[in-house]
Amino acid sequence: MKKFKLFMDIQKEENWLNAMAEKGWLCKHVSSIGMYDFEKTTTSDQIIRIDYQSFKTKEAKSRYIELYEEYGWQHLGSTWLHYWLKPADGKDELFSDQASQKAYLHRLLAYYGTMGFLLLLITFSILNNSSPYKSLKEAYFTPGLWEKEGGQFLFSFLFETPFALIRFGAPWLLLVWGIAFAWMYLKYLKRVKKVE
Amino acid sequence: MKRHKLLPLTETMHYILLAVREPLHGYAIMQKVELMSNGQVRIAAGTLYGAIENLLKYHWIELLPSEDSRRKVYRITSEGTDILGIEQERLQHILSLYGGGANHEEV
Repeated sequence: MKKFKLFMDIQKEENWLNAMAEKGWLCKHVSSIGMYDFEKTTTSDQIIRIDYQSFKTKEAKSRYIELYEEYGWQHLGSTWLHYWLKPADGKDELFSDQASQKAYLHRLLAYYGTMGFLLLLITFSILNNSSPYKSLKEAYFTPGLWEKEGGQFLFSFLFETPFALIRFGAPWLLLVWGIAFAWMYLKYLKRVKKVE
Repeated sequence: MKRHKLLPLTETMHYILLAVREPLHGYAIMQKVELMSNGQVRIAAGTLYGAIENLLKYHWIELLPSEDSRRKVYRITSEGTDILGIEQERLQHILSLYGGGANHEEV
């Protein structure tokens, strides 16, 4: 069963994947765009962990995958995150001390912070500079559209509508998305403080 | 002299450095640390990976060339050994204070 679901909070994503596994739906693969591939299974007590790393070199990445595999973790795939699966045996955490747990949260913070900042920056520069985004009417680019009449108008109007909606809606979508990242940043900031 | 960023060593880092005084591959480091600590310290995969990358970055450990490319083998460097020396002194000083403060002058 293939499933696509968008998560902002990776803790929630991890909880969801583990809840699915408990119901007998084990995630066997995660594609690079974040499509989950579930398989019905009777083997219970599997654990899924999500990790975030930023690698400076290719070798660092291969060292990473190899080491986790030596521990018995199976790599399910990666988006910007890495998904790992292992039979539960009591040694089910990826981090065993406070320093590394904190470093992990700080990496996530950097990610949420950078994404939020960039998205909001792009949104504001778009909204500042150009007009199609302020009124829906101006998002129609067809030359002379509003002078056309009857069937010709209707055809051109309907043809251009999806494009106009995308032009008009895109910056607002970006804005919502940017705010969501900023929200996650604040949420994880609280978590870091808890660990400290 | 300013102390190095990673000093004093965390328990995890300390054990890893002590373990790789002989060449070991990743998972074997974890097993050795578990033995050395009488089962008290069990280093998880992510923690070990982060520690190894950090230690490599400061050249306190090195990757040894090995025939089996799937198994990376690590060993302490002379810089790493110096760091253990600094830590040994620090800990010995603290231990001496337990004994009643022989090294401690009256204020």
